[in-house]
Amino acid sequence: MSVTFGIFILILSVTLGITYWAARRTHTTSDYYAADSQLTAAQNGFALAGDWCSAAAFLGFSGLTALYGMDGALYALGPLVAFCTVLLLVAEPLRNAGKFTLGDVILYRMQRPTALLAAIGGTVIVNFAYLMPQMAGAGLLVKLLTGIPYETAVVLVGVAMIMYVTFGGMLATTWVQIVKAILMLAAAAVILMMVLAVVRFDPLALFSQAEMRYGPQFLLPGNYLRNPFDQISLGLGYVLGLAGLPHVMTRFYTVPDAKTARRSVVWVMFLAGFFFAGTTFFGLAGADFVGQDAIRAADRGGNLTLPLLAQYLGGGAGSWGGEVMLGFVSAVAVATILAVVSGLTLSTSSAIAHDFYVNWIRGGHVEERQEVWIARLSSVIIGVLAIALGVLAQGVNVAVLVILAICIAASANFPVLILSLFWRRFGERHSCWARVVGRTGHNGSCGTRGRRGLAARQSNDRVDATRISRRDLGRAPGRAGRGKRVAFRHVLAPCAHRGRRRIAATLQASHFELISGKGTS
Amino acid sequence: MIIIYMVGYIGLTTLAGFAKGFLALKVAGALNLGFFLIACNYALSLIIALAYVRIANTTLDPMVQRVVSAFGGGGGPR
Repeated sequence: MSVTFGIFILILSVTLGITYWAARRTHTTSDYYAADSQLTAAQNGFALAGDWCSAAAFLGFSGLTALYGMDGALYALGPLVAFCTVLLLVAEPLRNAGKFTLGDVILYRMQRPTALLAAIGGTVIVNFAYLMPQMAGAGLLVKLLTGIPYETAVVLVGVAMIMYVTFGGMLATTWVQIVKAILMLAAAAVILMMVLAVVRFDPLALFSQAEMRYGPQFLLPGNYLRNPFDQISLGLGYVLGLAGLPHVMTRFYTVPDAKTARRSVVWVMFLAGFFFAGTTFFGLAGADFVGQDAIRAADRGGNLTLPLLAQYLGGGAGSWGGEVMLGFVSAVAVATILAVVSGLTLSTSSAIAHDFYVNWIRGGHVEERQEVWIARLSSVIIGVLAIALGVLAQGVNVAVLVILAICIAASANFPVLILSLFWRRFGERHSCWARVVGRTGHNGSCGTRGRRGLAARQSNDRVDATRISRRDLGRAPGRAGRGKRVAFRHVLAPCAHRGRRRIAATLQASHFELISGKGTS
Repeated sequence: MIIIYMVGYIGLTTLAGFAKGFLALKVAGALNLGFFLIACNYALSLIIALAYVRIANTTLDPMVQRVVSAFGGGGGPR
């Protein structure tokens, strides 16, 4: 256990060093919220991978596969497919339409933005729903691995997180995520190589061993989610929810332009794709080598599958190699949580400082230095709240909360985002309603929520496509937009006759609005 | 492309829910059709991503450039 602690302290000191370096470069709001939009595609890709491969993925997916077979593999597939949604629909227009937050996108489409409040609410609720299980997971993990009491562990993680975010802003958060992503991928690569070496580089042997030991039922779907609708709604929740997660959206403001945003998504898809496919193999290998009984004995939810597998591959419990591998994987898992909570805290604090305080209360008239100060203050408050919630959340099933957060994002944030990016006549009322409907829908089943989101999206895409026509060119500007609306039409009209490329053109269109609308103001 | 991956992924989850027997068919050794399709879905996502970037670079970007210059040239996004 001392090995774990040592490696963890090492990671902590490296990341705090980065924070010190970043703090000296963070002065303006743009520095604080978006690392001055100067990251390269590869950097942002790694950071996105760091954001998205949370501990739930690192530990949870391999555990699910080890205990429930194919359902775990299906779980792991969702997040990767979800990035297709991000790439095709969200990443580029988002980069062009907003400045720092989701609230910016809304503000930019609407004149009198009551909807801004709804956007802030959505961001804060989703982030806290996501933050709480991560804190609880961190506490549990540190407690299991090092023996520190749960409350102390949560406070420790919370304090480190506050340090990163408050002092280093987006630059420090990004680099913490990059460091963590590299460590995590390295750990995954090492374990994968070792697993394959054990089965003599024949992945099929993993399947046949698992089948021999646990019977053919193990490799079939339905062991974990018995209701077929649960499977489908979970899938939809993933595919639509990822694009609505505020801390993922914020990442697209850290790159200089839409093209870089696009390339960074491809980076993360390859990195995360490798990683998520890996978790399936780790799960199978865990079930084969360590055994389900041993995994359940260590943690009933299977969350310790990967550390146990690493220990086995290193030479087993008690041996030197086993301890080092266990320590390494555990420390990486804690670093993972640390990086994810930092990203979450930062995006919550930008929603509160930038959207709520500056744009809502003060109508955008705040000095830059003061805004940075407010953002720092709010991230401290959020951090303290997160610690409190984390302590309270002890014993709550963390996976349920994570899925809840993603579902809220899919039903409340995603429709608004898509509608404000692609539906020309999307107005304030629509936005408020989309959010309210999205959120109240939570009393129902997960399935209806996901499907409603999809239906809303599809129908409005259609509205979008049918309403763009040449005659729009000559029309007088509408009630809300004035100059911006005119620009929007002018841009879309020339593209309209291009038939099936129309939607693609719409994707690109928002950036003209910016040039001729907000960009000049 | 959205339709392709949506059909691929939601189709697979639907099969997982309603057609277990079908996914249990063996492809090679102990590897069943379900896992094979999961692997296909991984490949599909990556192929779509690469295809989109290719299309975006060769077709969409020039199109955007044309419209930008038609409006007096904003000079690209910020």
